[in-house]
Amino acid sequence: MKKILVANRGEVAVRIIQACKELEINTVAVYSAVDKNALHTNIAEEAYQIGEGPADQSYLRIDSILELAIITRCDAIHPGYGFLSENIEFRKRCDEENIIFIGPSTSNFLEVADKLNAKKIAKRAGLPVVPGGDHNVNNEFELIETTETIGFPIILKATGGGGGKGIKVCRNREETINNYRIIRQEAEKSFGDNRIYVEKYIEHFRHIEVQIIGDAYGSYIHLGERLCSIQRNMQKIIEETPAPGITDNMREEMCKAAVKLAKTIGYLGVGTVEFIYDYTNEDFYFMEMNTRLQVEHPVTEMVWGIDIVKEQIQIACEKKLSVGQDDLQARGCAIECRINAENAFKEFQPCCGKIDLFVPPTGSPNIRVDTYIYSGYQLSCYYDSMIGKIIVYGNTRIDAINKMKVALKTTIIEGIDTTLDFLLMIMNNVVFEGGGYDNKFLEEYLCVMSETSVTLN
Amino acid sequence: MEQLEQNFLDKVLRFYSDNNIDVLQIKMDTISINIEKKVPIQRAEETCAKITEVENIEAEDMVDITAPMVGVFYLRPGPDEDTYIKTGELVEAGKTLGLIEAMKCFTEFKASEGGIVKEILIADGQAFEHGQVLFRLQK
Repeated sequence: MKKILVANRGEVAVRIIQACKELEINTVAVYSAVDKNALHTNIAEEAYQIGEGPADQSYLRIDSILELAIITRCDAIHPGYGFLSENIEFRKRCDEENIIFIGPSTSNFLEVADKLNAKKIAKRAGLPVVPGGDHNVNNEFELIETTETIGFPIILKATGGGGGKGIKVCRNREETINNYRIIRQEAEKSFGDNRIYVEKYIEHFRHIEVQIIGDAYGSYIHLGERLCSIQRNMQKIIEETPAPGITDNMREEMCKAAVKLAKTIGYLGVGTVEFIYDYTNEDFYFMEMNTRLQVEHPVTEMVWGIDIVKEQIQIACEKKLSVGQDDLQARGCAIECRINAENAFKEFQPCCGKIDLFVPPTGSPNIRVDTYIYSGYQLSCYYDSMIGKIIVYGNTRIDAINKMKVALKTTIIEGIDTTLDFLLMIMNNVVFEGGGYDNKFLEEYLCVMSETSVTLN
Repeated sequence: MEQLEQNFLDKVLRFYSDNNIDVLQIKMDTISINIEKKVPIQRAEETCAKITEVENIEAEDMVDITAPMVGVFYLRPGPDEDTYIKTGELVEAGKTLGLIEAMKCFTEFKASEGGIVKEILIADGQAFEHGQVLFRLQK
């Protein structure tokens, strides 16, 4: 492997390019007209403009990206996360053009990218699945029928969806019908696939996911679980490992189930199996599988001592996994906070503009910053509002929390609104500290925040 | 990053040498050029117009024809044929300036505006990126 085209932008493009440098692989960066001065274009060995600002005119332009990979003689394309990373057409086209796609095989894609199919496979593999529909509802009649069988509350999900998009919770018939109409349209627009399925909605749960990696020789490892229950609009904000409040037994069962699923489908590369943990009844259910690198992979790296991106690239080069399960030992705790360019006190209104000053938290062992911003950088409004991630490692969870507080306080970002202060408030929250929070935590917290006048110290 | 037009750079260097300047600094948008004398520069031998002020490369009567995508450009319909256009030629909007090849498909690339072809900035069979200036026309 001599050259990789990084089909992404922002902090993940920087992450991939750094991993390639460590592996002595050259990189080709792509950028839109508004990303001319983005960090990733500077650090790659080659960089080319592929289109205008809007993602569908640049980062989603399959033809341009493939054409460029051919012109620049790239051996492989790394799709990062989001954009084309889980796009089946792109995956197939890479096969057709004989370019290595750094990710799972096309058949893996076909099996688990479709959420309903993934559920069927998981069930056949012996994993517990969320009770509910196992078929798409094609019209309102089927919708009502299915809903009545399952019983409220239910959740509607786009079969071709992902990344928390195309999901709506419904508590009664009227909501169900209205939301169904809305999501069908949204799904068509976002994924080009308007199929919807229905599941039982478990009111109080924890979102726990397991990192797995498989090589081309049939070896699999898991790298433990991550707790990702702090979400706003289905977008994760804070992730941590290990998940507090689950027994070692439960942990082992989930990890084993994840590996079993990966083995069953002969999964290749890096992937994440997501579970819903019904902590009231101590049951867990398979929810979906993500066939890509995840944003929150750093917390796993901190605790297991593995560079997941390098491992991912090596596996695409047909190398064996660098470690076996017996060589691995989780150590300590890690927490990640995603920093967004948003005003948390004005309904998370996104912000763009010039970043006058950026000084990352520095001078402390075990504080990691994954970002693409720099002092003077002009943040555009075309893309995701996440401008970076702060990850901390501590021997204990309290250590990690304290370290995160210091990291958030000592980070300087001037010129734009950020969620730094908001994240610090959550770190100081007693429920978060206790570790017993669930999927409702942030919703309830935000309610309280909007009802009281907030002062910051 | 932005590419410096070779032409523009030539003009700047000529201006620098013709006017016996010691230090020249130019700041434009995201580029800044800094030229300092380290060794005495010989005056240019060729006859060329003295430039008394830096020419604005975005002069009102000049049009940049830029690439709408990534691909490979061909200036002629076939290897043994004549180029579609030549410098000095007057072209109308819609005139085919060349062929773009991408994903093994060839499409005709047409002028978005009319004018006199002043500069052809792409070679036959050369790859280009989105936004790259391929031609400059004078209206």
